[in-house]
Amino acid sequence: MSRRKARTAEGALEAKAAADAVLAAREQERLHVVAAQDGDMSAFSQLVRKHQQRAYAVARAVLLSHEDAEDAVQEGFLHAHRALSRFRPDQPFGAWLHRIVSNAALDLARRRKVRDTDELVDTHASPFRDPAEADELHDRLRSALSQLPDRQRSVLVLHDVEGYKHAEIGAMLALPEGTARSDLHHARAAMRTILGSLRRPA
Amino acid sequence: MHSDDFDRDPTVTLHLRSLLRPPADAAYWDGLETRIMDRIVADGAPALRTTGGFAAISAWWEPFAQWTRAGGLVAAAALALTVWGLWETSSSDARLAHEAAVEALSTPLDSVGRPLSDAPREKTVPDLFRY
Repeated sequence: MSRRKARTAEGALEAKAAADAVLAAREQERLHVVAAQDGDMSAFSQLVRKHQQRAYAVARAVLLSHEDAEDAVQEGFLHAHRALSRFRPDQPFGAWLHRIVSNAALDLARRRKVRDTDELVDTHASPFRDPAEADELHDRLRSALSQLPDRQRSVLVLHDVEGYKHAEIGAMLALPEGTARSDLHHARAAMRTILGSLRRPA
Repeated sequence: MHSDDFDRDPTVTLHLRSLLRPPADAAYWDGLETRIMDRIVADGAPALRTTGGFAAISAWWEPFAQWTRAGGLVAAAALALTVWGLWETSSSDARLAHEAAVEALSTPLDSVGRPLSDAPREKTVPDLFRY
């Protein structure tokens, strides 16, 4: 019994320590934002370092290629820096940044679509190669993803791959929460149809 | 299982995560940070809070923020003084009015009235009553 109590107390202490760490990180981020608003570039650099991987994941959910995702991340940070004077430091910087990056990515996706339609370029062609791209299954997944509408693909990846909630996705992509939810189910159904052959035994 | 997960295909999710995983190389992220900061520096747009909007208002207010408490106390004292002054004024007015009324009532009514003069203007009222 006393061992159980000790474990409970230990768990409560760990939870408190974790909560304190989250608060400390948030305060640190707020200080970086305030310093960046005062023109401190190294403070903004700290914000870039902290958020660039998550921003890349958001951009990659919208865009199919690594290079486009990186372009969208750069655009997103550039826009965020220009708009930083209007940002309230007591708000979560990450959520604000992700909205900007997703907008930059959607904008880039629209431009790419126009370009690809005009030039009839293969959408999958990319000079960037990673080991995953060599895999046939990944190629088929990539092809299936490219057949989804931009919005459905973004919702699917943000939810199933990145673990965002519908409300967060809605805020990021300027969609009602219910639309994000129905987009997710439509995207999954479309993927099932497109990838049907993958699930059949060889 | 979460209510959103009834139609999720775990195999597809697993492969999507593998396909879309971000580069794992720390050097890549250092390089991306450098490229982002280079673009921002080349862009040259300042992020200063004084450029407008809510942040500009906050910046304007900051030097005065420490005086908020003292200012509030002074305002409250001024308000209390004003209320007290108004109350004092109105009570002394009422006292004066009361004294004047009492004084008027204590004076004989005959001494208050004036006898009608013979001027034509004064005669008009009795003339009107006559008809």
